[in-house]
Amino acid sequence: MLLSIIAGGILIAVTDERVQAAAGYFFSRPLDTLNAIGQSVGGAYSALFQGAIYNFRRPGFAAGIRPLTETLTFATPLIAAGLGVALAFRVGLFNIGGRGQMLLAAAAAGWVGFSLDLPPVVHLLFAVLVGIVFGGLWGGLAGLLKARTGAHEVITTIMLNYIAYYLVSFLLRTPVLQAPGSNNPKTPAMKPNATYPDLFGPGYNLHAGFLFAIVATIIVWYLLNRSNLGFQFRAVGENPNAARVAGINVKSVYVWAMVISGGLVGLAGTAQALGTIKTGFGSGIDAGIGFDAITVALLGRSRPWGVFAAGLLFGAFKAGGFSMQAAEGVPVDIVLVVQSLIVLFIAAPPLVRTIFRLPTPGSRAPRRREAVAK
Amino acid sequence: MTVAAVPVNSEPALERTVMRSWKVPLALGIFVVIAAVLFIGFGRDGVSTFRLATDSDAFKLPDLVIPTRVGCVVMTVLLAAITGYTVMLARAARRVPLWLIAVYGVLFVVDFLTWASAGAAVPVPGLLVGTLGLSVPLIFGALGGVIGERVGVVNVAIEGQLLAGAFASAVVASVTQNAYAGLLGAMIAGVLVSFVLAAFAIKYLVDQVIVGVVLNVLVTGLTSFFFSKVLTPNSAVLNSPPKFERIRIPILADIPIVGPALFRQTIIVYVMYVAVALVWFCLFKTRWGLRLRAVGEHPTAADTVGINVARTRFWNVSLAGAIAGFGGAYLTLGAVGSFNKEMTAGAGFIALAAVIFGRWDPLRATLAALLFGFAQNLQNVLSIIGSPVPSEFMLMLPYIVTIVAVAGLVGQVRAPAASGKPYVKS
Amino acid sequence: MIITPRRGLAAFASVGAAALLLAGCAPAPSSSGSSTAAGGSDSGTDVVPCMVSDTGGFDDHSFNQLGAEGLEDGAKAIGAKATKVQSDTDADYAPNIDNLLSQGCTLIFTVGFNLSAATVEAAQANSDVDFAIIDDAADNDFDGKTDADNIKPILFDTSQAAFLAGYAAASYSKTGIVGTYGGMNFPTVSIFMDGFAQGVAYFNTQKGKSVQVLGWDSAKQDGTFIGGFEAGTDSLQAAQNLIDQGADVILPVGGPIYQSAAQAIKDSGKDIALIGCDADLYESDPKYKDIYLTSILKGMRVGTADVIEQAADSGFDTTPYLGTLENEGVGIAPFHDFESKVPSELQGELDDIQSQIVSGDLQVKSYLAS
Repeated sequence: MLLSIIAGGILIAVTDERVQAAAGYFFSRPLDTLNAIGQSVGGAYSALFQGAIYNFRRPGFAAGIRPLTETLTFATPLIAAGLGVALAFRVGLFNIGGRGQMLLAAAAAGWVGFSLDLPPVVHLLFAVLVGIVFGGLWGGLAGLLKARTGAHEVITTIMLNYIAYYLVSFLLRTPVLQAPGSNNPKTPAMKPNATYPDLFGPGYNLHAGFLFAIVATIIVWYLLNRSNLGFQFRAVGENPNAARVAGINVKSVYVWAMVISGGLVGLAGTAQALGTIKTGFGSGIDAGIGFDAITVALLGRSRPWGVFAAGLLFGAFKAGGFSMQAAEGVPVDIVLVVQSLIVLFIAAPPLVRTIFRLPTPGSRAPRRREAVAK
Repeated sequence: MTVAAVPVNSEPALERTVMRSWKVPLALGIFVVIAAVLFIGFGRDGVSTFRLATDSDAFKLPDLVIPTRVGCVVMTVLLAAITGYTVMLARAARRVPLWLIAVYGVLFVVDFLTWASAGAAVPVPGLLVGTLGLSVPLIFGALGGVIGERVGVVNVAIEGQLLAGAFASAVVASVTQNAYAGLLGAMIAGVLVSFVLAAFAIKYLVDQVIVGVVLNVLVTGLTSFFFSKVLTPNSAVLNSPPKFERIRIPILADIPIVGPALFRQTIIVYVMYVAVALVWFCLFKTRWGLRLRAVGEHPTAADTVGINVARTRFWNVSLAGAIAGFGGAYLTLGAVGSFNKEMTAGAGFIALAAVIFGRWDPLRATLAALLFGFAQNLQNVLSIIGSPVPSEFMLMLPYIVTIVAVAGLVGQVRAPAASGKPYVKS
Repeated sequence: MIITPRRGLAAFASVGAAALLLAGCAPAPSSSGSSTAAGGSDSGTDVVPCMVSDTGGFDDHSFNQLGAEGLEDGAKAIGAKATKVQSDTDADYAPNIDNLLSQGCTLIFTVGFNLSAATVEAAQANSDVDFAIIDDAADNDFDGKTDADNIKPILFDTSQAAFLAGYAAASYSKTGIVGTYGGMNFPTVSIFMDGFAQGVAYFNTQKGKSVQVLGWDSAKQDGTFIGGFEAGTDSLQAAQNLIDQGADVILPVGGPIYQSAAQAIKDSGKDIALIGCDADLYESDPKYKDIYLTSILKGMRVGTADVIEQAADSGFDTTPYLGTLENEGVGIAPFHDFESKVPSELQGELDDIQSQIVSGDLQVKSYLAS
């Protein structure tokens, strides 16, 4: 963690214009350069903290804590989608199709959200349900193809991503999704009844989708660790052949795993369309979360609460990244780079141990017993 | 529960014992129905022209002119006949020969083209040239992917390697004003990405898919950053590489129809022909290939017979990176002529799909990449000719074709057994 | 082995370091300025201009880039320091605007229709800050009025300029076939293609010719798209296929994708002309200058800078701005090297058409033309 911060710091320093300016005359006044480096790196990380956790520059606790709520807002879809990808991993399936599942779920939930008139609560629940169902169907399609024809889910989910993207792009050009009177490929705003209510009032973006994400985490935990279906899932994930011999219907497990996985990713889609961006969306509503979810799932070691924590961490990066860019002028590309470095180092406990010459816990323990390093 | 992130499902070979498979006749039957409904039911009048020669051909084939309606009916009947034959084969519990499926596929495509191009002309050589042009980065990427997975390291970072290769080749070739130096730079960049992948995945046992996904983000971020901050302001010095000229191979280039596509290409494409053959040969016919596959299938066994698993993996993943990086150079030095932000546009993921589609076999993966390139170019040609389908659905075509091909014809695949699993010597 | 990952990273970093070293050992400036936070209050103006891009980013060779250049121009003119932030995904717009607000920006530009809702929301919540949105009317309830009274919409009816370019292309074409293709079927893209096709059609009725447009169908409002805005092989192939169909003028619409088209033209070895978009490519990208017939200009750079300067001089004015041929917000670039290749009477005809469009005698259809 520390190491990645240093590595990121070097990058920030190298890329900062002030440092570049000062380095231009490094040999005539070296202190300037060092000063500038200190300022840019320190500033960037303090911006990351202030954008993600607590902003000291704002007066009062209510305003200061706002960044933390932003972190939770960004974490919401990441947790939901991460759970979906993690669940598929536990069954031995690689769901790389989060983008398509999110797009379709958002489109379906969004359609319910802006075109129907239903009473409060009912409208929201119905829209969320429709989103989950559509995400599940799109994921289940990949599962079905795998079960029926053996088509590898990596291929089908990648292809289904593109198909969903073009499908939603097309619908955004037709009256189905396009806002009436508009020429732009965007939907109208969601009806208030259909949106996730704000948790802390209008000053904060955090919405009730976060509660859904918590519930989803609990359900997935129960499903995987306590239920019969979850046992079958894990059995197939460990060894499909043994599972088959033990009388588990492997094919139907594949289908159901992808349906549930897609449904969870669909929940992330509804969090985007009905919570984060209530004002109508375009074909970029997935915001790359489908791919981030893979990293979140793996960082969380595919365990529900691990995914939850990893989602929070990623949410903090996202929220902090904006203020790094706005306050310190760190280009958004570098924010990405620093984030990916941090992920790499977090994911590599053996590397960290090597560098700091820490003893190996339980000498040569198999990977499963290693603690999640944070 | 250890490595959950494994795109591997070693299903048993039990199903092979089922001799009578109706999958192929069924898939073909569905296509006959589609053909009948679309090409005959919604038949179009006029004539369809297939231009078979390019302007620069030595001897020009005349245009092939087919009356649209009649042509479609004849070809659809032929398709039905082939399907009938496969039904017979399936009843007799015999395998459907691959060439028959290939004939069927070509016939279907021609049928489709005839229908779609009523009243217009399809430039067949141009269609093929474009197919290859779109496939080259996919093929290089897929070769890199095949080697990586065969040795037991899932390479999700193909996209990153292509992009790094494209970036490095543009910069190096611009600075040195030498396109060959650019190629070298592309390979080194690909290897560097591979080093990170290999080091984290093999030495530090980080989940290979995490490293791959993260590397894609990392390379995208770095190249985009340097592109906007360093390359764009100095594009004359840093982003104006010399391009490879097309080399025309005498005689071969004059073969009608396929000649222009295959033998009027840049050196990168000729290297690709060699690379595909070489990777296939080495993988299956040499000691190096045997060791590599042993490490990917059963690292423990390989270890017991004295193969250093970690080292084998490390160097072969690096080699895979060099190949993928080389493919990235095609984008800049072979095609577009300069580097652009995120110019790979998802090609690495398509290459990943081609690896699996091609069952981890270099030749089959190449064919898969070519199929994708063909579908991609076909949709573009058709949309220019004027297709009755909305543009978004045309853009879906290559992806739908891939799914149909994978589901209908390829089906069950088996990855190298240890692909994606870190090996800890015990 | 341990050093391997670091070696890899170091190699990446060294590219940047090399760039730094190239800058060399310039002399130190006499006094280190007080460049701290955003905004230079020492310059007399208290306008702090800022900008949020859409996901295309500030080097998209299109509206984000031109807007950013205009932002820098305007900021320089009034002696302020501009801040600009780039959006990576659709979820970034609102937080980016938020962060600019907390950085003390007083005039925030947002680029593209995708930011419309976020801009309106921020404008309503911050009535003391001025907003301007490029390529959108900021009218999400479609009542014909801007949704917040501190937003200035900046729009460009590029179809008028594209009409001129289409006429010129038809007049120039020797094969009687011209082609166009776009990134995605968005209104800001298709408006170029549609105006272009209308211009060709007008040429045909005027001259009794039948020049064909490939890649755009005015009736269906659909055409050839490559599904993205990357200058890669897809764009190259789209241009190549147009060339195979005999087109000798090509209009690629969508940021950097023209670069691939230019390369396809060079590869073909044929005499094919390219029409640029947004800025005069002859000046902004002279690498391929011998193939540019003309460019369809969209005056975003000047437009943005003007808004800033005006805000500093005489206060912010929220009257919507619509760039047309009449106010020279849009136009076509000179023929440059093609001056001698186009028919000699063409320039005169274009001037006539231009004055007819300005006077309203000739209507160019587009979603912005009321």
